[in-house]
Amino acid sequence: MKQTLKLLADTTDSPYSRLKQWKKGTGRKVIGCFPMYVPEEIIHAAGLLPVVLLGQEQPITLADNYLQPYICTPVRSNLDLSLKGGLDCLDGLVFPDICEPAQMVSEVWNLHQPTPFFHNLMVPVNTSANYSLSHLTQEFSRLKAALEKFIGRAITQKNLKDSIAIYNEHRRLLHRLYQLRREHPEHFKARDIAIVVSSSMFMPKEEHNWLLGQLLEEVTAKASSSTERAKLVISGCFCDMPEVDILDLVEELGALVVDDDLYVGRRYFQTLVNEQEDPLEALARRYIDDVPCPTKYHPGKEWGEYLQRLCREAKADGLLIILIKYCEPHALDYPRLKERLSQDNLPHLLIETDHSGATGQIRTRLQAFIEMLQG
Amino acid sequence: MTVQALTMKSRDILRDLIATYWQQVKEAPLQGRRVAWCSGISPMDLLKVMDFTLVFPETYAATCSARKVSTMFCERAESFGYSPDICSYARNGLGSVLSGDVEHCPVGGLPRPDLLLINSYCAPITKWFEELSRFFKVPLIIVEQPVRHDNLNPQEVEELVRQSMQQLRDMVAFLEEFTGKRFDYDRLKESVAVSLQCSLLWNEVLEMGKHIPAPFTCFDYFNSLFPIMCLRGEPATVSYYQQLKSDLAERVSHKIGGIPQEKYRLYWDNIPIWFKLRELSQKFTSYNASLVTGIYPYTWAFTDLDTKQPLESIAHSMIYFATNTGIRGRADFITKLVQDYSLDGLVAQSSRSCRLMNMGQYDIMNLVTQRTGCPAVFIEGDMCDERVYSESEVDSKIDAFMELLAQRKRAS
Repeated sequence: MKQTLKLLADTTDSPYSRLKQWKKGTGRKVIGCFPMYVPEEIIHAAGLLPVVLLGQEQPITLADNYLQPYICTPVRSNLDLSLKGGLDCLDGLVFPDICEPAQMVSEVWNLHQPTPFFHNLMVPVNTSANYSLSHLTQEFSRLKAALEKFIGRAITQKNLKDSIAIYNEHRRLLHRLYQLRREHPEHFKARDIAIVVSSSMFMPKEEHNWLLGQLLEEVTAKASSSTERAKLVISGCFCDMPEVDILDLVEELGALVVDDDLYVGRRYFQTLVNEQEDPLEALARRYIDDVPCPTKYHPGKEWGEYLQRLCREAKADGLLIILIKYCEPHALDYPRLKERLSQDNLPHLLIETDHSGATGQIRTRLQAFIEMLQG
Repeated sequence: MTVQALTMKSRDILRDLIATYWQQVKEAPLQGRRVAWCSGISPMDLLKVMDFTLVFPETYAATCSARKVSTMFCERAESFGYSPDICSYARNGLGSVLSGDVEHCPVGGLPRPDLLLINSYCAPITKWFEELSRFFKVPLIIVEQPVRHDNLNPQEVEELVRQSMQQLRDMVAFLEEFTGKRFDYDRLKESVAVSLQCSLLWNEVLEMGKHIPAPFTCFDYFNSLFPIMCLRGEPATVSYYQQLKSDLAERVSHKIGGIPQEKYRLYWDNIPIWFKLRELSQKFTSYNASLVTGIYPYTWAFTDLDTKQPLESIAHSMIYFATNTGIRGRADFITKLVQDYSLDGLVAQSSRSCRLMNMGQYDIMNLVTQRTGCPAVFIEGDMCDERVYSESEVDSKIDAFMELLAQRKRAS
């Protein structure tokens, strides 16, 4: 496991310099996708490599000239990296309109760092209307047409189906990895899981599928064991990589992470695409049927209920919620979530962070929470 | 002639109009009329046709802010777990409803809704109304509000209109089922006709600001926004704006300005800081600076409504309204204002908790400055949360900006 993991960690550490090399080697083009809802399969089917923009660890300096300080870190961090020239390997960009900062940072970006391909993807808020599916299918076909124009040839149904199959295979492999983590959580560091998922956002899924196969072979050999440590599910960080410092701290303080509701985690692969249906409609249906999300309106689908079930299935003792400072959709959903979790007697801790690391305050609160769970 | 020398008859009309409106709102449930709560941009004409009494929680939040109770309601919302970083309109609205504190609510609070209607232009409006829907156990209608992004071509924008149209048809079907009444398209035509009349008059009123001196300032037209936002489509609103227009025309003919001595003509960007209107007005007046225009009030000038195609034109207006654009779109609009209104400077308010309005604002203002040479100052404010407002900081920014404008005037 160590060897494969090392390789994946290298990808996550310096994704864009590796992508430059990859482009040189293959002569292919790379399209950056702002989190969370770009149907990568369509870009993949065009013979392009979709990558997810996960920001940077460096301090934000240039973006402050274009965005107010009270815009969330993922939006500012990605723009900043681009302004510094860190994303010059990108041949194109796709921005889903998931919130006001995401939909408008696309405009700022296009003004200062234009790329040959640029597309705003207007995903609906309401997933429950009788036109939600057809309008989104149409929106995905608009993306397809724009990509066809960019590559100068048609994207066939077969191209789409093949790409969907590859992405579904990737999702199945990650489901297996997560199942193993549930069974043997002590063998998996949360940081490593985040690296596995994030690395898949920067390389062709075919390649990642092969590496995941290797990785799974390496872990299945381990023996099962039981543990007395508090088991946690982590939820949050909807547009970025969770801070590894905080993940490490959870484990250092004695808890185990048994599952997650992170974007760089289960949210990225949970829902498979129906391979029997028309490809674009199936991709749209994935968006409609996906895990509850603060950026969507889906009456009858309670996020709290989803998390309760996830925690039960993963045999977790509690839930850690990481709220990225200034993420308004998440902050708006929290009070209802909190109410629901307390009705269900599921202990939770909310920490708010703007990527300033595992601060003393976070440590103190986490420690108290974990001690409480371990009783 | 001084400012006071002319009576503004429209002022009394506005006061009566607002008082009558609130009285009707209060009486609606007693008279068995259904009440709908709507977002500021929404296909409200459809509900009027179905005899709903309409209230607008965002406008109500502005009222709360002007009456200095909004900060308290924001704090109430925070006590229910809502982060202070959330839109202060939403916090004001949730705090006042969830706490049930009718005593501190202006006009005794809003009557219970039977239905909720929004356009999904921002996360807070959607989430806020979703919570209201849960709290009051009433249906919520969401109309998708896509942004008219700069890079969309005309066919793509028309497709957005077509999709909006489909949503409006769906809404009509829902309303028929909900009320058990047939939707009357003739009445929609009448309502749209009056809304159009209001919009055209509103547009003409705003354009009076082109005169030198401008007969009013933004601090006047912020108050005059209420009817176009909440009472569009009412014959009384038409009369009000007609009177306002003739009052302003009279001022223009006597060369009477909105402030005693107009030396500088400025643009105001973004939502008003409702709780500081008087202070800001005095501040700018002390510099003989008149804030003669802004893009924000043009949002409600739905001049492309069309009585021949009422439903289509509502769909059209919901995609094409002034502020629903990308960066270049808004910069183009403001650039034209700078030219048409002979502006000397731009005052850009970054409403701290409104991401919809503040995203891209630096670039929009920079583009306008680059194109016109008109300098800009950024001040940080908010719609409803007084705690984030620093009077001394805003004052010193305005002082420095006015000094800059004075130097430019001297040099020219």
